Amino acid sequence: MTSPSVPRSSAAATPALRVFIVDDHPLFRAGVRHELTAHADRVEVVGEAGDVASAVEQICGISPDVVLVDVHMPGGGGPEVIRQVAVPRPAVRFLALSVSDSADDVIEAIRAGARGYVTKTISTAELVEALATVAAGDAVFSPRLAGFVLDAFGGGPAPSTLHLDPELDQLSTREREVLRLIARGYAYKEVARELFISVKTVETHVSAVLRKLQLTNRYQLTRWAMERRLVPPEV
Amino acid sequence: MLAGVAGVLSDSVGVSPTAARAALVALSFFGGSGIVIYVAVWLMVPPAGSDEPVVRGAMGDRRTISLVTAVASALVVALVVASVLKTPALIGDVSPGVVALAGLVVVWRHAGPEDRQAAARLASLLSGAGPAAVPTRRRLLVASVRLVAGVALIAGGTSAVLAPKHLTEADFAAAAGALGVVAGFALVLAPWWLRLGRDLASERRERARAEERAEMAAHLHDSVLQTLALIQRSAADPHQVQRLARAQERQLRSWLFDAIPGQRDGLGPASVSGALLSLQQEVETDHGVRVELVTVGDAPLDEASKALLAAAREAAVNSAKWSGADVVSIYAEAEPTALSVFVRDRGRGFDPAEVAADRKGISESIHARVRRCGGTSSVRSSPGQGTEVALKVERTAPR
Repeated sequence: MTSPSVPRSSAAATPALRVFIVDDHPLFRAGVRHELTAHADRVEVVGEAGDVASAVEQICGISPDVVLVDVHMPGGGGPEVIRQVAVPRPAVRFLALSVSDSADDVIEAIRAGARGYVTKTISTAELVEALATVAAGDAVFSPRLAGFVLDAFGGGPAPSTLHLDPELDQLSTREREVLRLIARGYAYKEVARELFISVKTVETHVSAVLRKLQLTNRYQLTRWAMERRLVPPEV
Repeated sequence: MLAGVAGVLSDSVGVSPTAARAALVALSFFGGSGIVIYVAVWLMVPPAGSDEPVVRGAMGDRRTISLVTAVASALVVALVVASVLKTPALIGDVSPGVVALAGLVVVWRHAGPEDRQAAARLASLLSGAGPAAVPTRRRLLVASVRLVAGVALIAGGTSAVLAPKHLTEADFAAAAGALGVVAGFALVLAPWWLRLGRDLASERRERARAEERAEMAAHLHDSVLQTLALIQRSAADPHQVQRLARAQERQLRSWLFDAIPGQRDGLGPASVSGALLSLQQEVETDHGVRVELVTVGDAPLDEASKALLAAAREAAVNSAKWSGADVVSIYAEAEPTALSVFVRDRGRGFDPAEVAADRKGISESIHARVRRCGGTSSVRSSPGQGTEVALKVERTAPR
């Protein structure tokens, strides 16, 4: 579905990214692996797993650059893999992938530590870009994820009875502008051009938003995700 | 006569059925114990042609047990109240009726159809309504006698408490004590009564769930299976297959995830987000492009937002038809003060200055339409850069 707004192509000279695939559907793993062979210069699949336990074990052994992880799996799903790997292997980065477009899936994966979220209808070229972005430590915000965040952080600050860090609880005006453009389908470099800022600055804003999303205990975020349960049928 | 109880009694005791019947009726008049005995025998003695007494089936049913417990506990409370009010008549007259009713309920739940009918007849007798066969006038008489007796009882009970010329402290103490006992019973037994109500509710829920499952099966048959058949038939046409699959996927998703389509935010189908969903579906189905839709917030549909959405549809259709892009993005944001919609593609784009003035598409269907409802619109495009149409309208007082 969503074309993630991915910033730039990484330089051709850099070594291929070592990618690990976690998905409980063998067919899907085979499909992704096959499609990524077309981009062997940039991405190398170093392993795959079909359940949480073996995923955690192998990832800790292989230490890939990026793990492409399915959100829905038996035994806790992607978020569980992310949580279990985060402690022994904090350098491993995660890109969540799912057929679902539901708000709470997105939020749970991001809050577990994923640096981005794409759906399974993504094109291979976009997937490669998204993997590169995540590997570089930046966040992959699809238009839909940007829309989620705007929605969840909308409606003013949360009630002050909760001990919230206002820094974490609200988006800055600039962050809102960046997210709006992403939601409108702008790629990072188009956002940069529109706002007269550098791509790096766009990435900084997006990463800041990701951090807020991961760390805020804004109660509205959970309540919002729960109320929505699922968002409108996917694109 | 009713459940063959007199016959059973006469068999085991050795008197004639008529005598047994007469004895039961007599007992019913003196304190009502006849009715209780009748129902008890009914429960304990297996009906003819079966060796399982009604009560055996009832023991295995938690719901019946809790029902009986609830009735019994209510009876105990009633007795306490009666004894405090010093109206022994109440105890004697009412309690056998209540016990018998409880027994009848058990019979009702576990006995065969014949017993059920008999139980219904007996229950209507007990409650004073009389069987349906009783002439209306007689029923009226029974009802009025019951009413007079009830009022007399209440008056008697009240005057019994209030009669003493001088209310002593002891009277107050007794009243307070009685209140305490009643409250205590209520506290202890309330869970039983509540559970009874909950059981009824859960029974209703189960039925609703079963209906839901049936509906789901029907839906899958009508939609998914039909589409699969269509897809198999048009396997040679990948474009058609894609269209069918996409439309079906969307339909299935909206059916699965939006219990009531378009009602996510309690605004009903008449909300901006609901209207955008159908817009998305229609453009995708009619023009074979993918439409990405992101909505933030929601608003009710009014004249202005309808005009805005019509303009957005025109913009999306234009993109689908002319841009050559296979994806059109729609972003809508409803703020308290404004509603904005952006329609964007990454297609071939055009130079807005070169569009002939007589081309109605953009000027009429988009700009003029939005202007009429007090909104603003702009088209940004250049060759090779794709097109973005921005539409915005101020919202009147948010509802």
